[in-house]
Amino acid sequence: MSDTVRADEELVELLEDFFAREVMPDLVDATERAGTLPTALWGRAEAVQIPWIGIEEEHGGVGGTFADVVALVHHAAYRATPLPLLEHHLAATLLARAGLGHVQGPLTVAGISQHDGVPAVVDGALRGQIPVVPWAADVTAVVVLTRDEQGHDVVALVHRDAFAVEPSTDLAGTPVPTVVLDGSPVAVGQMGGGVEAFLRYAEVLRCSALAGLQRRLCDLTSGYVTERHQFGKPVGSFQAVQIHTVTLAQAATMSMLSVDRAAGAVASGVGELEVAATSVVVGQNAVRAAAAAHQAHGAIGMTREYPLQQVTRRIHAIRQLWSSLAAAEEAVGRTSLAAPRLSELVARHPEEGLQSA
Amino acid sequence: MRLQATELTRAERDLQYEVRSWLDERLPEGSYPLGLGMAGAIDPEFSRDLGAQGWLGMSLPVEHGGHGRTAVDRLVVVEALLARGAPVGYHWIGDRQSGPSIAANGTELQKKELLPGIASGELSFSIGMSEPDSGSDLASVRTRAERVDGGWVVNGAKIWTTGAFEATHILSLFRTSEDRHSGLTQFIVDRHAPGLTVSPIEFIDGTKDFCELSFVDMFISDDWRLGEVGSGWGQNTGELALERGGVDRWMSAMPLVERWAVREAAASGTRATAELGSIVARCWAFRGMSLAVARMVDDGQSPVTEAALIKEMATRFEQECLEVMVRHLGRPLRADADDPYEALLAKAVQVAPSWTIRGGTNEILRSVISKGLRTR
Repeated sequence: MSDTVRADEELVELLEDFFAREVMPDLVDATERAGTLPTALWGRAEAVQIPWIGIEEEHGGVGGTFADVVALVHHAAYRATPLPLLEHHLAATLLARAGLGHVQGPLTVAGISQHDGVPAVVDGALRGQIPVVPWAADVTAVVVLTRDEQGHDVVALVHRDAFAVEPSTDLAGTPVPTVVLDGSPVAVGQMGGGVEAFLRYAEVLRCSALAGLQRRLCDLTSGYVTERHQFGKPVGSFQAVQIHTVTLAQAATMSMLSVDRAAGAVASGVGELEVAATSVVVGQNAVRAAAAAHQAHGAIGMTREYPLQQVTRRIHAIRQLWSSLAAAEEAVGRTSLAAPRLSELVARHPEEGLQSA
Repeated sequence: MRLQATELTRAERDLQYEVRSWLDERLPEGSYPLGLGMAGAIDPEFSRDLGAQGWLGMSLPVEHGGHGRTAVDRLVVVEALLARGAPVGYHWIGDRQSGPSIAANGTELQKKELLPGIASGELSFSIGMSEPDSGSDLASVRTRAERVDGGWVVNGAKIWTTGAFEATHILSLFRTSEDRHSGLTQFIVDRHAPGLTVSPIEFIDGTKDFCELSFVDMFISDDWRLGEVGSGWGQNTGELALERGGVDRWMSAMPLVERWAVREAAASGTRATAELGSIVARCWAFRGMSLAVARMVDDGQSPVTEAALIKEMATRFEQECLEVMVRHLGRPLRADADDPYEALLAKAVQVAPSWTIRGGTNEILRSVISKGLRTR
């Protein structure tokens, strides 16, 4: 078998155990109500070096493959973990690529979203606003992917004391404040490696989170329809309910496989079609899965006391986090129109795709 | 359920290139009637040419005329054929499932007599399962094979049997005792056997591939019983991974989508571009799933639940593809249109409901999937 990229099995076990043990629905709920980062949980994650998986040792990490990071994000999302693990990883990766050294976490990231522009670095400083920066009030620094005055791609490191925040919250109850930059000097490094390739790398991880959420919906629902009895039988024995559990299994299976294939392509330095196609199918499946899970659960799924809503609200919070589903569909559509044969595009090996720097 | 990500090896990509190049020569655009996936035209000459290339019966043993190759190799060949709407009708069922089933369950005589012809494209198989009162509830089959000296005498009827009229053989499921599941046995019936009458049933689009089979005291030698008496149900189930998880379950509309992209989507603005993108993205995802299932088969597993899970959603997707194209056309379709694209789209709209019915209705598949997921 060629090009399979698998996460380290021991690591996967560690991740499953850690999030299952440490991230209970009560903690997710309490975090949402408090509106601040659960520092004790972050500390426990740090103690087993979870935030530094996939960051090379020379940059202060513990090493690991891209597949390991994909697994980290998947398992964190599966438990609706209220920590900036995805953002921290992207921020640390950008610092490493820009040679900006190791910075104590938790970090968050800005400049990945295609929804809003970010200010350019002018005279070694950043001035302006960046909306929707997850956990920005509670981190040690924001790492911004932006440009300098010459239009070069750069990474700027903005320590917590160099920006103010205006509070805002996403649908999952995660604080996503606007970062207000007052023009203080910031550390700036040239972005090593292509920005396009980095955005694909980030997108695979976001899709991995969505796939992890879908697998959770699948598990929650198959458990519930076995336990819940109506008309004297488990509701899962009714065909009308099975349609929902089947939809969930299909969504999760397709999404996880697509993420793994896209990750394999990205790890080989390619993946233009693979990542865009994954964005499309994982985004579409996430919505179908959320609807199916709610329908199979009925009324209890609508309550805050039952954890389903923690998962479905996260799906709505991140499904178009950085760009729209329509934009992803159009991107695949444009690639398709440029291909001599659609069927050969669909069947191509990732290496036949665009080579990127 | 987790499928393992996999891509083609270098050798498999070489095969892919070889098949495409050959098809460029053998099936130039306009030289053949465009087909809808596995329902492609019946063209024995094309099937023989394909067999001569070594691209039929690929997984069958070499000593019986096969090529000892993998399920993935077959996927590579089949996806190139279906992408072009190639005339695969004559050999399709024999290549996909009857051949592998005979290789797995057949006697030496059966293998020697039949497998070389399947691999060369000489033989055409059809599957005799449904009966007037046995559709989704297949275990209720009533057509009976009674033991007589040297063989069996069959009486009863099969219905909705695709391709039986043109076939050389019909792999049939008959009742050999009253026991619901273990009273079923498979037989390899000669299409022209005395006592068997094959009558076409006109299909929704006016074609006559659908058939009704009537058995009146048809004698069949015990040599043509496939597998043990009473093992028909299990053997039938074993074929399902081969039948349900393949690329044929999401590629029926591919020749239409290819043409729609070139003719209309390119000029129809961002909505059409996005719809095309959605279709291509889902094809890419389904293709990854089919490839993962083929690797499981090569690995000796029997991914029946996985295959059912794919088929249930892929066949709905095929129908959604049609709806996109029909909406963009924006006028009533004509089956007699001179334009082959419109004529094929008109045919597709009529036959598309069969895609979520044949090979197990989606309702049955959901039960299969649910049961499979519960026992994991």
